Amino acid sequence: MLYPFILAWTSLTATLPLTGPGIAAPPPTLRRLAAGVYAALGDIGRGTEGRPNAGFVVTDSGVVVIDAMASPRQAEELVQAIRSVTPQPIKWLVLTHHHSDHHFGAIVFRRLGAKVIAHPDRRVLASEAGEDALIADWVRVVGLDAMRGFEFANVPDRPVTGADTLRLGGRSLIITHPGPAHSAGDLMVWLPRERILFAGDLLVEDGVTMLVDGSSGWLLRALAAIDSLRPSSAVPGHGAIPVRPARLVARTREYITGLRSAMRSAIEQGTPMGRAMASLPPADETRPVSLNSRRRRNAVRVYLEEEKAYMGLDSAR
Amino acid sequence: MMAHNLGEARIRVPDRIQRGDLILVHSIISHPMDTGFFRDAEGDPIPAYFIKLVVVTYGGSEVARFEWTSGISRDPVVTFTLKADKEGLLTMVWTDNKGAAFRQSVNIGFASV
Repeated sequence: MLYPFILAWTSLTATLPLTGPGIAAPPPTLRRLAAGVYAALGDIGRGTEGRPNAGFVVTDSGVVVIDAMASPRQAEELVQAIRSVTPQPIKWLVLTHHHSDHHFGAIVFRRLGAKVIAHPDRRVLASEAGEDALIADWVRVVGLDAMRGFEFANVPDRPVTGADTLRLGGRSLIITHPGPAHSAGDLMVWLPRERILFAGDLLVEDGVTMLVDGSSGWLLRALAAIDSLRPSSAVPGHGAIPVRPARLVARTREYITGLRSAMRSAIEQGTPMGRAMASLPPADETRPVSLNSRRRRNAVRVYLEEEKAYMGLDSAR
Repeated sequence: MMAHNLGEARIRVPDRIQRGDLILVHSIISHPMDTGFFRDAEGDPIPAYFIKLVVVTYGGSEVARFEWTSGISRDPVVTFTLKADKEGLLTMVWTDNKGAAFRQSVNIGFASV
């Protein structure tokens, strides 16, 4: 059964070099976005393959961390970075979704006493073969050493399925579920006063958001929701923080709508999936989330969505 | 993810067909197409449950037959071309390995020129 294996493998959301076994990565660089609001920058220029971004908000009554990085070790580095800014206790960890590269460090924050805010739907494509397989796959990505002390810690203490406002030390964080766009358990975190959005993997620096466990229809709705917030700053799940968030949103939308219309017209003309994708560069075999691999995986996904929509069985949209 | 109405099937043909046209027929059926190789959340095996035969008839005679294994995706789509040389019903019957047969038809009629 090769196919399920490929599914499990290809749904991993990072690959080796900078996070690989035995290679010490530098601790995340902090970017101060507003007073007490920081982005912890992962890798830049590597799209979804790089270490993810995270963030945190310092209040007078404690710290709220947004996303837990890809391993306990990365999370410990994030804690060190937080400690370089504030001695306040870490009270809350918000997870933007349940992919390994964003929550596998969660246990570190839990052990420090933080409560977890997340969407209760933890199902992801990569866990279809079970949690043990998910961990084993991930060890191959980040290395056994970085995984020392790992336990799952993404079951929410405070589940969010709609919208929730977290108030702490005079600050407000609005946490919303934009629908299953990138994954079933997507959340985004909005700071209304500072107009700063932590978008999770709804946004990626190169504009090619993966539809891993979500759908293009929900992603378009999520992008519209982001637009309507008019953020002054939006932290993507991976890569550089855009100078103009609206441009990254527009670029992502153009990519998705272009893909949808290309796949739709292929289906109307009876063009099989393989030929509909012929113009895309081949996927990188050992890099399941490289730009080329992402584009092809999204194309498969959208072809299947459009096929259902064309036939009137469009429950996924 | 999928439509959960087992056996719901659709066939789509062009709105306007003229005699002799080579038309595209699109079909879809809602079916789990379980391979038998997976387990559910409790760890129990999910038995194989899939469509094993699709028969297409046009104006009463069989024009195509597909013999499937479990290696076909859920909610399978079949698209094929058909030479529209007569008016009549195009019928598809999907039969699964539990013996259930699901039937759907569309009428092939010619547009007046």
